[in-house]
Amino acid sequence: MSCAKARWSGASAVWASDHMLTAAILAVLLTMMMALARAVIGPTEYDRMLAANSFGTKTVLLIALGGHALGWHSHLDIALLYAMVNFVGSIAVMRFFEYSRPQDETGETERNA
Amino acid sequence: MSLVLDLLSGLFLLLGGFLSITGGVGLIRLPDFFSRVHASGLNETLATPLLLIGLMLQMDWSLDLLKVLFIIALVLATSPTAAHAMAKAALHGGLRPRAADDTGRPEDDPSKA
Repeated sequence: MSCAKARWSGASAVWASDHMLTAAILAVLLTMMMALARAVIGPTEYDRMLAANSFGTKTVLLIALGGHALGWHSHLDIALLYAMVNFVGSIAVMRFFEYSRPQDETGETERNA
Repeated sequence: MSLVLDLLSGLFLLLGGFLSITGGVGLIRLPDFFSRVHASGLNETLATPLLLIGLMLQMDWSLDLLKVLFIIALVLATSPTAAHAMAKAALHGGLRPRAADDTGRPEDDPSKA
């Protein structure tokens, strides 16, 4: 009786962790869609860059989790490389934007340039 | 042992997915660029290690665990750095944080008086 109960709870734990993996992938996809929406509607160029950075970080998560769920090979190398490239790209674009004043000031009220 | 690992993995994945969605909602709904940096940076820094630890608890004992640890270390190092760089770039680019008593009208802006 106790053995059967232990087997049942073990199977239900595997079921729970598998579905939690699917739920986590769906949550990451939903967050990526929200970041994409901010990149589209973002009033300043900094908002778009923030959304792109957040999208890249969530892409790393999606490659790691989804690769494990689908049984890919060496997806973690790609995720690691993507994290590095995402960081370097964000820093490069931010250094480029740091002291530049864009020509059009569309739809923003906070800037007092 | 496997039961405990599966339950812990499901718990970590659930918490990480919830935090990820929270960061996405904050990225869309917060009113200011600096508060959006705050939401995105903080949530990425906690949600990514939670999701990846939940992934590590499901994986076999191999070299891939070390790669996931590398990804966690890289994200923990680069995500606050990128958030700081974006906030600094926006501040130097002329964007100002919205104060609590900011009415939004230009004649009430104390930096222009």
